[in-house]
Amino acid sequence: MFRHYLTSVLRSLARNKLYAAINIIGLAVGFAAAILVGLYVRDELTYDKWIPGAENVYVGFIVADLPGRPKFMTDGLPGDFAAALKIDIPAIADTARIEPAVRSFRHGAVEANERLYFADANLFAILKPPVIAGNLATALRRPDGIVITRKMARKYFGSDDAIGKTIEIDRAHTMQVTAVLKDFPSNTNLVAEIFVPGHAVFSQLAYEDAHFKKEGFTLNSSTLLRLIPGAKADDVARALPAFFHCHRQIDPDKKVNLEIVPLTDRHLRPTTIGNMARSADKSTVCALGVIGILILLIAIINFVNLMTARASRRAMEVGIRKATGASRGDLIVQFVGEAMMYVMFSMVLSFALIELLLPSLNAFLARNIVFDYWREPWMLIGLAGLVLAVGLVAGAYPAFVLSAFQPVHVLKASMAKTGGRHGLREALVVLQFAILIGLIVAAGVVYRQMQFAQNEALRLDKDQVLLVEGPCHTALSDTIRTLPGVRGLVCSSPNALNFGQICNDARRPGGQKTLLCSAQVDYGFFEFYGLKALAGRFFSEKHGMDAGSNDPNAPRQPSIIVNESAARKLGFASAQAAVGKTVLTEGPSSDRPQSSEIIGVVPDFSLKSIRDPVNATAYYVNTNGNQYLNVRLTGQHVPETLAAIDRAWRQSGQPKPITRKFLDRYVQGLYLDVIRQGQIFALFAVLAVLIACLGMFGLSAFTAEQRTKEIGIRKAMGAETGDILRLLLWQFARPVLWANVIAWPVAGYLMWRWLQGFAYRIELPLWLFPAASVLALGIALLTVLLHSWLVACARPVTALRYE
Amino acid sequence: MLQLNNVCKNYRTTEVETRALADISFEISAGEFVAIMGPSGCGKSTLLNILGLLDQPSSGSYRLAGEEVAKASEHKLTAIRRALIGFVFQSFNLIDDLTVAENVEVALIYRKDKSRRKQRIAEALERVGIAHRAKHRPQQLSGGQQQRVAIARALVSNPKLILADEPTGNLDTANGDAVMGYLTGAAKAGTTVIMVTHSLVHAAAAQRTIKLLDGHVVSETKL
Repeated sequence: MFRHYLTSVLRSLARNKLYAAINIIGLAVGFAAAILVGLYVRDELTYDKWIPGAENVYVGFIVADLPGRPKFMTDGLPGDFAAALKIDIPAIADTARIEPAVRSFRHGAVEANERLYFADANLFAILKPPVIAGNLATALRRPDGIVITRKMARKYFGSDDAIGKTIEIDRAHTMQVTAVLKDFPSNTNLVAEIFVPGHAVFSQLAYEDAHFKKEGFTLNSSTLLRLIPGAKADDVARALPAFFHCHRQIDPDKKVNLEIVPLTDRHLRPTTIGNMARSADKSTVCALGVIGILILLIAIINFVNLMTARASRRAMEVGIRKATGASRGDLIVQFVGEAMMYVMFSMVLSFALIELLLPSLNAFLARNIVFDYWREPWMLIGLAGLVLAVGLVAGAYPAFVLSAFQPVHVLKASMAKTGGRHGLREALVVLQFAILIGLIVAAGVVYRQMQFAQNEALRLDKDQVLLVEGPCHTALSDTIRTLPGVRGLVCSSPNALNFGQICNDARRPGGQKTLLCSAQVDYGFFEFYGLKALAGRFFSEKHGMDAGSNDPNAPRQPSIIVNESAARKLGFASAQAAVGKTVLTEGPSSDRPQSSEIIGVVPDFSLKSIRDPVNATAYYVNTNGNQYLNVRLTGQHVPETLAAIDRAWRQSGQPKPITRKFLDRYVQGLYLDVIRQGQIFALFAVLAVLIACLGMFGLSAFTAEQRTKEIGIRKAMGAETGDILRLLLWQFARPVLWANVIAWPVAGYLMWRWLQGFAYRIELPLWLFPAASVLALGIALLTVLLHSWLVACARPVTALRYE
Repeated sequence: MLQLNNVCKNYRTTEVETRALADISFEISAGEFVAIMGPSGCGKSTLLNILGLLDQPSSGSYRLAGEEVAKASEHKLTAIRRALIGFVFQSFNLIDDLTVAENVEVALIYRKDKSRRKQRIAEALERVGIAHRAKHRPQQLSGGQQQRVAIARALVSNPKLILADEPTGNLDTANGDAVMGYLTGAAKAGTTVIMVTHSLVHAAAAQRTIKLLDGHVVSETKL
C-alpha cells in the first residue's frame, strides 16, 4: 500500500513538474528564511548562556531618572560598590569589577591597539568561560598576569601555546600569559578578549581606587555578582535600595536606583552607556521573529493554496478509487501523506539553502551562528513538528473534503470542475499580499530613517573627515596639516563630538537650573564642519575674551557658544535672544558659579545615536588639552595621505600605535543596528516578494487552466485577447487591492511606533503606502501576465476542446 | 452567406499527420437551414469550428459574408465572429460562475452593444421559456434548461449565422424537440442555421443535409 502511494506521489511530481517545483521551492525558501531568522533570534536571546554557570551571574545597573533628561541606564557602578555589596548583602557570594580600555599590545613585530578588560583578580571565580590552558582561579592574581583568548594567542604568538610567554602593553609593561581561553562566540556581552589584573600598576581600576572620592559618582567599571547557592535575585533586589542610600546621598528629586540584571538578560536590557556589548533592541528582535513567522506564513499559504487547488482536479481519481474499494480513511492517509512528502522535500531542500546562506548571513551580521541540527534533538523535533503541521494543514482539504465525495457524482464529472474553496484561497492571497505590502512599507521607512540618521540628522559635513586620537598643537598636528592630501585640521575634545559627557547644573542669573554639558573646541571647529551660526558669531582669535581665563576662580570664564537645546532649556525665547546673555555654571572644582557670555548659537548636532536627544551643550575655546585631531582630506590620493599620516605619527615618537577612523564610517558603525535592520527588512521583503511571486505564478497557471473553457466561450462570443487579459489580471489585482485595507493601517501603526524610539526621526512618509501597493500590484500582475497572455492568445477552439 | 472552396484541415503531432478535412467545397445561402451529418470522427465538429471562425483551415478558401477569412488575423476573426455568429454547443458551454441572465449577457458584452440590454436578455430568455430561472446558476438547471439558455445566448444578439454542434446530443426527446423548434424558428426568421447532428429526425428539419465521411463531403441532399 505504502509503495503504491509513494509511486503515486512520485509520478504526480513527475507529471506536474512546474507545480511541484513551485510548491517545493517556495516552501523551502520560506522554511530556510524562517529557520535563519529563528537562529538569529535564538542567538540574540542566548547571550553568554554558553558560559557554564552564567545563569547565576548578575550585573549591577544604575537607572537614573533625572528631571529634564531622558532615562539614563548604565551597567557602570561606583568602584566601591563591588566590595560593599559583598559585605552588606549576605545573599551575594562574590563580586568582581571589569572596566574596558584600549591599549597597545606588542610581541615581537606584531603590534596593535586592542580592547581589554581590567578585572579584579577574582573575576574568574564568578565568570568561568571555557579555558584551553592555565588556571583561571589564579590567572589574574599576579599583577603581571594576563588572560587571552585563543584568537589573541594565535595573533601574537602564532599558536595556542602561549602560557608563560610575554607581551608588552603600551610598550612599557611586560605581562606574562597565565591562561588561554576558548574563543568567545559572537553572542557574548564581553567586548574584549584580553583580561588584565585590576591591581596592575597601570590599570585604570587601580588608578580609580587610588583616587577614590566617596562624594563622587563615577560609573566607570561594571560589577559582576554571583549569588550564594539557593539565594534569590528578588531577595537581593529588595536589599538594594537600602544599600544604595546607605552608600550615596542622592537629591530626593533625582530618582536614581541600583538594580541587578542577570548576565544572560543583559543584552536585551536598554543601556544608555555601558562597558559591555551594545544592547539589542528587544522590540527589533521580536519584530524580526515576527517577520520570520510572516515569511513562513506566506510560504505556507502558497503551499496550501496550490495543494488544494491541484487537489480539486483529482476528484475523478477519488471517485475511481472509491468505486474500486478505497475507504475514506485510505484516501485521507493518501492525501495527507502526499502533502507530508512535499513538505519533507521542502524541508530537506531548505537545509541545503541554510548551509549555503549561513556563512553570508554570519559575515553580514558579524556573528558565528551555527546550524548543528544533528546535535540538537529539540531543534530536530521542532522541525519535524513543523513538517507535520504544514503537511496536515495542506493535506487537510484534499484529505477530508475530497475523500467525502460520492463516487457517483464525481464520476458523472459534476464535481470535476470544483476549484477548491475559492473564497478561502482568495482570503489567503489577500493576507499574503497584506504581509508583502507591510514588509515593503517597513523596509522603506527603515531605509528613510537610516538615510536621515546618517545624513540629515547629523548636520555635520562629514565628507573625507578623519579623526585621529592625538595631541593638538604639536609638531605632529603641524606636520599633518601641511601634508599634500590634507585640506584642513582642527582640534577638539571628544565631548565636542559627543564621545563623552561632562555635564553640570547651569542657569541664567535669577533663572531655573538646568543640566548643561560642556565641550571644548579649537578656533575654527564649527566652520570646519560647515555649521552656520543661528545667531551671534563663532569663536575668533581676534576676540581676546573668547579664550577667557584658565583659572576656574577667575570672575569671568571664556565666552561660550550654546546649541539650540541649551538656549531653549536656559529659557531664551529665541537664538537671537540668547546672544550677549550671561550663563552661570556650577562646576565641581569651584565653590561659586562661573559666569560666561553667550556669543553665538549653533544648531543641535551630535555624533550620538539619534535614538537619544542632543544634550544641551555649551562650547568653549581651549587650545590646550584637546585630544582629537579632526583632519579633512582632499579626497585625492587617500591611501598615500593615510600612509603619510601614519608615518608622521611614528616619527613623532608617540607611545602607542595610531588610532584613526573616518567619520562617515564611524557614523555608519553608530547606526549599524539601524542599517542592519534596514537591510534585513529589505532582504525579507525581497524574499516575501519572491515567495509570493512563486505562489502567484502557480495560482495564475492553475486559474488560467481552470478558466480555459470559460475563456473559450468568451472568445467564441467575441471577446478579444485584451478583454480576456483584463479579466484574468483583474482577478489577481482584486486581492492585492483588498490587501491594502489590512496592510496600510497595520504597517502605518507599527512603523509609527518604531519611529517613536528615535529622538530625531522622519515623518512617516505617506507616499510610501501607495508606492508599496503599486509595487506589489505591479509584481503580482507581471507574475500572472505570462499565463494570462498565453491563455488569452490561444485559439478559442483549443480552449473549447480542453475538456 | 458563406462559401468554402477546397478547404483542408490537417492536425500534426510529432509523429503523425492526420487529415481531418479534405477538399471541402460548398456554399450556403443566407437564411438557409443546413444539417451536417456523419459518423463520429468524420470531421463534422472541425468543419463547424472552421465555419464559426474558432479555428482556421490549413488550406483552401473560406468566404463569409463576402470576406475571405481563411487566413484572416485573430483580431479580424474576432470582429466577424462578434458581429455575425451565434453558437450552440452540445455540452452547453455555460460559464459556471455566472447566472443564467449573465451568461446570456456575455454575447452582448463583447459587441459593446448596450442598447436595451436588460430587455433583450429578458426577451431572449422568454423566447426559450427560461425567464423564471434568470438568477439561477447553470449547475442548478437540468440539461434541457441549460441548452435553452445556450440558445437564448445565441439568439440574443440577432446573429446572421447560428452554428449548432449536436445541440440535442445530451437531451431527452422532449427537450431535443424543443431545441429544434427554437432553431427552426430562427431559420424561419431569416437566420442562417448550420447544425451538426447524428439524428436523422432532427436533420429532417433542415432544408439541406451535407454528409461527411473521413473528412470528405460524400453527399448533399436537399429536402
